[in-house]
Amino acid sequence: MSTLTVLNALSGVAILIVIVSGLFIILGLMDVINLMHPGLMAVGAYTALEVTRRGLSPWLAILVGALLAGILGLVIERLVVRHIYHRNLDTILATWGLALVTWQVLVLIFGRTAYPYRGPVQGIAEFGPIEYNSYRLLIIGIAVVLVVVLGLVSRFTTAGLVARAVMSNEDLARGMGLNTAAVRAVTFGLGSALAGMAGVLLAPLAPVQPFIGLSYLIPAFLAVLLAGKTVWGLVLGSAVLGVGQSIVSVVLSPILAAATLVILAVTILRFYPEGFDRLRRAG
Amino acid sequence: MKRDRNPIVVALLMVMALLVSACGADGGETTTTTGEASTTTTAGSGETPSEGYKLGFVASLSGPGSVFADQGIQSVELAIAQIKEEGILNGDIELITADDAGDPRTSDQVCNRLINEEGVDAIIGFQNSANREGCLPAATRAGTPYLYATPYEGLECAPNFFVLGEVPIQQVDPLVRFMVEDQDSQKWFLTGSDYVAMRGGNAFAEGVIDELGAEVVDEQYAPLDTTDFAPLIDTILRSGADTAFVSFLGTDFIAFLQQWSDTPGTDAVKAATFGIPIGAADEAITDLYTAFSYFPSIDNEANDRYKAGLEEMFGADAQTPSILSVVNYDAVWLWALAVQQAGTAEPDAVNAALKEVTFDGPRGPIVFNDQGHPELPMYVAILNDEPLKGTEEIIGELPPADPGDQADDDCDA
Repeated sequence: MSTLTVLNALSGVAILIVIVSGLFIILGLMDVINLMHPGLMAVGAYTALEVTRRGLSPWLAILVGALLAGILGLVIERLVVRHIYHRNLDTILATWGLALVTWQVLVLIFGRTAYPYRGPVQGIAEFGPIEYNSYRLLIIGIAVVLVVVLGLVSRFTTAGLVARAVMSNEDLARGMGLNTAAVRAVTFGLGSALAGMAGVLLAPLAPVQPFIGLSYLIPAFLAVLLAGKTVWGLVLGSAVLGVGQSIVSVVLSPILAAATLVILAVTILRFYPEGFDRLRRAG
Repeated sequence: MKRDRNPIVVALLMVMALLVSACGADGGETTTTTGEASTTTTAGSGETPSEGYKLGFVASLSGPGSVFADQGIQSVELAIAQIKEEGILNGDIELITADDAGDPRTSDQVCNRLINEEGVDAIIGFQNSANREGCLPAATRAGTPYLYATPYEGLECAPNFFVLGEVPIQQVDPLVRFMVEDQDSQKWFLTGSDYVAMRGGNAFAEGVIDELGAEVVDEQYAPLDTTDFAPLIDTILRSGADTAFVSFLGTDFIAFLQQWSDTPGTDAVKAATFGIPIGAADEAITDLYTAFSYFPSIDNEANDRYKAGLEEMFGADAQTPSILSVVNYDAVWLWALAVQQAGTAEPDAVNAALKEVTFDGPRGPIVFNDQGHPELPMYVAILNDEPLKGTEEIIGELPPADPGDQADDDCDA
């Protein structure tokens, strides 16, 4: 197993974590399956495109992309999602519908052309004998930071405590005087912002077009199912799927790798229906 | 932990179904816009002249393919103007454009209208395969000549069907031969999108590679809509191949090339393709070998005249000529020469005459064979920039390539 293979697997996992984190927060805290996720990723990617076209820094583009997607998320929560909480199938249909609308609006504004996008770092980084694509290294770094921040926030801050309280028993939390509606709005906004950021981060790998990130929707949902409700589960779920796909792709073929994802997820869920939460509690 | 998982399963099934249906539409290309078909008339003279001709032009003027529409229209208009100037036909050509909106059913409707209501004498089809399938049957029923101005996958055959672009055999065979004989490509890694056209092209390449005594070290495909090509690129690098044959569809190609150029070690492997990487960042394409029957920098008199004509007629709006524009130019010229030879625009006579005339165009002399496909001169070029910009470096000019057999008979059934 060469260094390149290992780094590819690592960065594959990192990309998955970056994409999954927004879904994970929204599903974990709200039990809302947000199929608008790839739509928000596209919004983030196009925002970044517009920002860099104006000569501004691609670092700034990450922030602006996340911000705009976050604001859009807040609006969606307020206008649509808030009214259909606890109606799982309705939220699925509503958010998927919103994604379709978003894609069409983007096509109307930007046309169907795919736009190449250059990220904040380019080229190849060298560390002694090891050389690797510097942008993929950056994604690994961002994923690590993201996981650490998510972990610390949920464990050691009041916000995290409130979030965990709402997550484990919403009725009780409301009874204790917590404003659960506000918690949900913030959660949806934050998850949307993370989706927007994921879109910006994906753009240097694949060109910016309305359906950027759509191919990650299925792996991302599988990873969230595996993740359960802990940050630890998020990392493990993404790692199992990311590494599994990478290895099968290199050893067998990329086509089998796509199928492997589903088989892996189904097998694991057969034995651990609550995802990796149960695994940790048992062990 | 009271979460019900059924909805999630339903959601995944829904998404998968949607993805599958989107892919089925047209080789992964998503066609969701079905614009209203419109017909605009750009007549040579106000009234239909007594001895005039009507030429239909069908293309995607809206929807995903519409970025290329201007290239086609300009070349058609230029050819019409030159034909008039040279007095090839005794009468004006009225051009009637129609929009297939990137949708086969719309294509069927507009072609029926062109033939049955407008009464066009021929149709120039600047369409993808799905939309050609929408239009061609109507033209074949009426016998109306359909000149197909697009490179395609081959094996279509009808007495009124004439192809201007290359089929895979014409492109892949010369390209592989050139790579093996001229660039010493001995170990090949064949890859591309998991799609019939790419597998077909690569299967054909494998035959040529074997015949020439070179070796295919591995063959792998990436599913449509792949974003992360790192594992595939890793496999290519570890295969020991000296040449990668890489042909992907649409945005997958752009993503692949970007990641290929950003991966250390890839500059030691030659990359060749029979696809068209339109939309890739210029810096993402480095030394990509390709072969087509036309590149704008071809040096001959007819090409000079063609390029000058476009500039003179359209000025600053003139599109850079490309394989996608020159096929439209050649199509109009060949039809006009066939009408001149037949002495009438009557469909059967023109269909017969089209198989006899020669047009010495920007690509060289074009003659249709009995199955309506031309032999084509082929040029090998190195791309270091997005194609269709005229910045390629032509490194080889090859003898005319035969289109091969499209069917067992001569297509007159």
